[in-house]
Amino acid sequence: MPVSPSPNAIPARRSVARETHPDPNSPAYRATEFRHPKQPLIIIPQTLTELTAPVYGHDAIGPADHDLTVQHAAAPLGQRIIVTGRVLDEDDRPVPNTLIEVWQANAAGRYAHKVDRWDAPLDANFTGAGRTLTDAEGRYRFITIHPGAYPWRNHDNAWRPAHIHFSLFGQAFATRLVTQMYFPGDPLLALDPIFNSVPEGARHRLVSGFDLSITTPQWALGYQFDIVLRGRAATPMER
Amino acid sequence: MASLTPFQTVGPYLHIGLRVGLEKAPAPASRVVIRGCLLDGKGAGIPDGVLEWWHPSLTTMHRSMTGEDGGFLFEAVKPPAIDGPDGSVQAPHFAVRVLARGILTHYVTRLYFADDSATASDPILKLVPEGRRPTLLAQPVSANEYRFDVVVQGQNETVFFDI
Repeated sequence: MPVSPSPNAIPARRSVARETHPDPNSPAYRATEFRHPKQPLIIIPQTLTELTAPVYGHDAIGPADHDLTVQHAAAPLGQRIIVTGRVLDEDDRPVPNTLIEVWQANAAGRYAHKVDRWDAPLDANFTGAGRTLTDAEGRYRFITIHPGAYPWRNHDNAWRPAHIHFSLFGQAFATRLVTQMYFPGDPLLALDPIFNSVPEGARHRLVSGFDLSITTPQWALGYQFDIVLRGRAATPMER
Repeated sequence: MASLTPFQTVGPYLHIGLRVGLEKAPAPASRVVIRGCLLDGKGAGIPDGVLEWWHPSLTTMHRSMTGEDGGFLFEAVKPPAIDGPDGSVQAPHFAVRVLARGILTHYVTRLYFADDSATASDPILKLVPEGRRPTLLAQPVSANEYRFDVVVQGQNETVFFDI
């Protein structure tokens, strides 16, 4: 597998990052209490190590990997949906041929995972894992079912809003992103400490949009979710 | 200019989705084995985490899922020295990214080899206050085997980078 050529420095735009990403110390999400560093981060220049990444080819992806509804003997229960969008950099350029991994709960809000003990049914026809590569225009497309909300023990009567986990590589070690996609109009969003760990002005970027033009008649509802990774502008790094 | 998408935690069920890069490394003579523990601010192991390893000499990004006690294992060919900023040379190292439940973003650090003569003059390591540098050093425990713990908070907290 080849390694991507070394790109230009990736602008750090640290003030933008502060207005975008969660504070690792977010007390409302209790698990952060002992899992956030207390020492300040040390700023380092981007070297070959930070500016390269593995290049995954199409041989890394199976034909059913992007369709979470055809990975077993029968179709999973739940509302069939299409989730599609573009992966862009901060300068609006598409990020082509980059690996996206997704995982999610089933329609009842249960994960096919040994540590999920919530009393909701598993679905033998749903694993909840998918992956794909973006095309030359940065587009991706998954077919899945609408995940259910589920309770967790963070606080009294806590429920996670329906979400799909996304993991993206981008074209350098420094551009990697792991995030969650939510659904429009979900009343649980306002109550969720993980969603609300994101600065208020950036939260809407995690909410997909219902789109009738993506919706396929007599088959599946369509949602659009565009993702923006750190850019590759040829400008000097902010220090 | 498009607006950056925010980070969110991988949550406790990360193993369902993060599956590439888990292949075992081959076993050439130059292989190194890294064993360690991912520890929280109470000194407890973090069982629902993953370490991702990268160096330009690798052909895939490697992942090590932590076990019930927070322990992890990573095997790879020891990376060579490579070019650094302004004509300098970087000592053999791995870039390491930590993701876990309770981590809302990602923590980025590096592993250096304590017994490599190039480590002391590494240009990135020199940016770290001297007293904290040992947190980035994998200590040899036997031929080709090293110990490297990652402490996300508290005493001996690992140095994390803003890249």
